[in-house]
Amino acid sequence: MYNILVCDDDKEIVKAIEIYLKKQGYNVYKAYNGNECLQVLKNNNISLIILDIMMPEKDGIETLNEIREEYNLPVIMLSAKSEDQDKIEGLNLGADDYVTKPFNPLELIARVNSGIRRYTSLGSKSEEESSLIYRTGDLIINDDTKEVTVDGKEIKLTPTEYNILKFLTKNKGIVYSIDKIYENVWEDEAYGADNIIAVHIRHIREKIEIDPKNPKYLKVIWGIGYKIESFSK
Amino acid sequence: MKNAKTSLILKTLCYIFIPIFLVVFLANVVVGVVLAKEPNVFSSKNVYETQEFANIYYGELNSLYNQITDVSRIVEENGNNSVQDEEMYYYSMHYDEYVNDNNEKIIYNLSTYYDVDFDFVVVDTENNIAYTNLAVTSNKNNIESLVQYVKNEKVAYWNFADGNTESNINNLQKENVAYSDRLYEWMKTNNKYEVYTTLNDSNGTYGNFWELEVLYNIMQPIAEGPYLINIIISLILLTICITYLVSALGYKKDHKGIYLNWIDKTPLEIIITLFCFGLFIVVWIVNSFTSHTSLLYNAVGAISAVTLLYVLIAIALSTVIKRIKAKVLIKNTLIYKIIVWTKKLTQELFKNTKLIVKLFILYGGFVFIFFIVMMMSASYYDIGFPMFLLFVLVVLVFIKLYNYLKNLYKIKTAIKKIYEGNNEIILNPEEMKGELRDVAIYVNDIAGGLSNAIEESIKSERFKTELITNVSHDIKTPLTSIINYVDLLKQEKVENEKIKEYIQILDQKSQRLKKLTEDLVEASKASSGNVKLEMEKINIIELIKQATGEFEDKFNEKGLKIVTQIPENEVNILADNRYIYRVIENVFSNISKYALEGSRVYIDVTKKDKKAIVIIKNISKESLNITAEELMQRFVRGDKSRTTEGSGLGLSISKSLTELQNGTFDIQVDGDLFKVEITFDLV
Repeated sequence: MYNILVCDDDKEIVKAIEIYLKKQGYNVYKAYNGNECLQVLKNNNISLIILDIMMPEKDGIETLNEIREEYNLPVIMLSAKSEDQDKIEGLNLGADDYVTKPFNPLELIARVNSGIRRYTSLGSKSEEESSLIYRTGDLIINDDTKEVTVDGKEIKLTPTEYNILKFLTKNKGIVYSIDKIYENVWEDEAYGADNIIAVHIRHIREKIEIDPKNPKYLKVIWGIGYKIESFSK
Repeated sequence: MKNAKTSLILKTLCYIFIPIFLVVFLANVVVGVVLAKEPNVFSSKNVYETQEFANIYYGELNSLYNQITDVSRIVEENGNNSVQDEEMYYYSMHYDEYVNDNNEKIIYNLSTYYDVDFDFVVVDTENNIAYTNLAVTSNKNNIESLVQYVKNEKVAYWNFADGNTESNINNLQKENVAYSDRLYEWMKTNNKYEVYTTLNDSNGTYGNFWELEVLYNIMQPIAEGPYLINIIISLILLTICITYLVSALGYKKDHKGIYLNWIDKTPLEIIITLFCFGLFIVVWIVNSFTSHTSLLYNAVGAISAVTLLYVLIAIALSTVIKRIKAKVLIKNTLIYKIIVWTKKLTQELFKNTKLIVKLFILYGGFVFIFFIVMMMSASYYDIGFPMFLLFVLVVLVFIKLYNYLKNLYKIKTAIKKIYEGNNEIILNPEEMKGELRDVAIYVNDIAGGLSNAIEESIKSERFKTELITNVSHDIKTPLTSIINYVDLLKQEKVENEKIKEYIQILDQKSQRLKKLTEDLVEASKASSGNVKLEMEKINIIELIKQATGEFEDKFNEKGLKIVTQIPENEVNILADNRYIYRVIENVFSNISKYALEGSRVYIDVTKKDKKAIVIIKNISKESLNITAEELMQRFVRGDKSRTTEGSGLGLSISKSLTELQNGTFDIQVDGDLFKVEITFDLV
C-alpha cells in the first residue's frame, strides 16, 4: 500500500482524485496549500505527490523547490496552464510529470501508476543489462525474450511493431523518416506513397505512451520523421 | 576673454591706435628703404647740406637759366614794352618792367613756364638789365639794392659773379658743374650775367624744397632712432590690435551672438554706394585743398582727407567682418532680399492656384522667354549670346523636369511600399517642391495612420488573447471537477435509464466545453500571432504520410478512402513542425467529422512556381449553406458556422497558423465539394 499526497486548493478536485486513487488501492493524504503539503510530507512516508501549481500562500513551484531540497520522490504537477512554456518550467524544476486541467481521470491514474512503478523498481533490473537489452528511460526492450516493458509494465506488440520500436530504440535520439525506417526494418527499398509505417507507429504510441498525443518516448517530428527520446539517466 | 571681447574701451583704443601704429610702421619702413638706398642721406645736420637739396637746387638753377634765356631774348627783341603776345603765351610768360633814374631796366615779378622756387636776381651787366622774381618796391628799385636784398638772405644761397661761384651749398661750386650742362654757359669767364639766388623761409610754402624739407625733418629723427626695432614693434602692435579687433567685433555686453547695429542692418549695396560716395569726397578734398599754396590749407586738407578715408575704411571693413561673423553677408543684400521676396511671392501666388492655371503660367513663361530669345537671335548680329541664353533655358528646364520626375519616383516607391504593407517608409517633404511636396506630406500621413492603426489592432488583439487565456484558466478549474464527478457518476451503478441518459449528456457537454476552451485559447493566440515559432525544413510528403497514418482508423470508421497524388521527390518547405501538423490535423479532423461516409478524400501535392501546393478535397455529408469566408470567420461572426460537434474553430486556427508560417490557407466550397488549398514557398 503506497501513500500518495494530493495537494490542491480546490477541495472537490482533491476529493475526486482521492476516490480514484483509493479505488486503485492507494492510501491518500490530503493537503490544501504548499505549507500543509510540506508538513504532511515530513510526518508520513509518502511515495508520490500530486501537486497543483496555482495555490494561495505558497504556490506549487515554490513548494516543489522546497520538496526537491530534501526528497527524491516522484512529483506530478497539476495545472490549468497548458502552454508549453509552463510545462518546461515545471519539468525543469524537477517535476517528473505534468498533467493539465481539466484532466482525464484515467490518464492521471496511469501516470500515478507509472510513477510509483518507476520509483519502486528503479535499479532492481539493472543487473540484467546485456547487449540484447535496449533501454531509454524506463522503456526497456529485451531482445532475448522479445519483451517490452514501460515503467516495469509489460507491453504486448505485434512483430512488426516490435521491430520498428527495437530499431528506433537501438538508435535512440536519431530522427528517421518513414522511408528510412522502412529500409532498415524491412531491409528492402521503400516504394513511396505508403503510410503503413505511420499507422504502426501510432499503434506503438497508443500501447507504450500514457498520452499518445503527447508522447514521452516515441516522438513525432512532423514532416521530418520519428525518434525515440534519449534519456540520460 | 569673454569680457575682453565685449569691452568698448579696448575697441575704441584699437580704432585710435591702429592708424598711429600704421603711420609709425609706414614711416619707419620708408626711412628704412631710403637708408638702404642711400646710407648717408641723413648724416647731415640739416636739409641744406644734403646731396638731395643740392640736386634740387641745381635743377632749379637749370630752370632759371632756361627762363632767363627765353625772357632776355624777348626783352631784347622788343626793346620796349610791346610784347609778342603769342610767344609770351607760349612760355606762360609774365613780367613787369621798370626803368629807374640810373637807366637801369628791371624785369620784375617774372614768372614763366619754368618757375623756380627760390628768389633770384640775374643781372645783365652788358645791357644793365636785372631779371628778378621779386617785386620792385621803393627800397628795391635799383639793381644794387636788389642784389643786396638777395645776398642778405642766408638760409641757402648760390651766387655767381665775375666768374666765381659763391654758395653755402656743398657740391654746387663751379668745378662741380658739368661742361656739357647749360648752366655752364653762365659760368664761362666771358659771361655777361651775374646770378644771385637765395632760398628763404618765405619761398617754401610749397614746391620741391619745401617737400624735401618737410620729409627730411620728419625722417631725420626717425633715421636717428632704432627704426628697424620700430618697424618690428609697430608691426607687432598693429597685428595685435587688428587681430583683437577682428575677433572682438560684433560682441556686445549682455548680448548673445553677434550684435548688429543699424549700419550692419543696412543692405550691403547701400553701404558700398555710400562708401564710394565717401571716396569721391576724399578725392575732392585732396584736389581742392592740396593744390592751394597755403600751408594751413594743405595741412587741413591732408588731415581731413586721411581721417575721412580711415573712417570710411574702418566702418566698411568692420561691418563686413561683422556680417561675415553673423553669416548675413549675402543675406543682408538687396539682391538676396529681392530674390527671396520674389520666390515667396510666386510660391504664395502658386499655392492656391489651380493646377491648370499653374501649368499655363509656367508653360506661358517658358514660351515667352523662348520667344524673347528667338527675337534676340533675329536682331543680334552675333547669334552666340541668344544661343547661350537658350541653352541655359533648356538646361534649367531639364533640371526642373529631372528633379520633378526623381521626386515623383520617390513618392511612387513609397506608395508601393505602403501598398505592400511596409508602413515605415517616410518621405522627406523638405526635399520636394510645390504639388509634390503636398503629395509627400499626404503619403506620410497615410503611412503614419496605417501603422498606427495596425499597432492599435495588434495591441487590442494581444489584450483579447490575454483576456481569453486568463478567463479560460478560471473556467478550467471548476470544469475539472465537473468532468471528474461526471466520470464518477458514470461508474456508479444506476438502475434508472433516464439518469443514465442525463449523465451521458453531461459527459458529452462537459467534454465539449473542455475542447471549446482549449480551442479558444489556441485560436486567439494564433490569430494574434502570439506563438513562438521554430522554423525548420519540413518535407510535406512525410507530413502527409504521417498525418494519414494518424487518421487512418478514424477515416476507416467512416469508410473514407484516401486517394493521394504525391510527387516522388521531397517537397520541402520552411515551417514549425508542431504547428504545420496542427493545420493538417484540423483539416483531417474536419473531414473525419463532416465528410460523406463511404466517399473518397483526395490529397494532391504539387510544385508550381517555386511553391508547394497541397490540395485536400472531400464531399460534405450535409449541404454547405455557408460561404468559405463564413466558415473561417467563426471566431468573429459566431452565428452560422456553429456546429454541434467540435468548437468550429479548427479552420480559423488552421488559417491563422498557416499565415503565421508564411503560407496561405484557402477554402473553396462548390456544391458539396469542400476543398482546402494550402501553399508554401519551396526551399
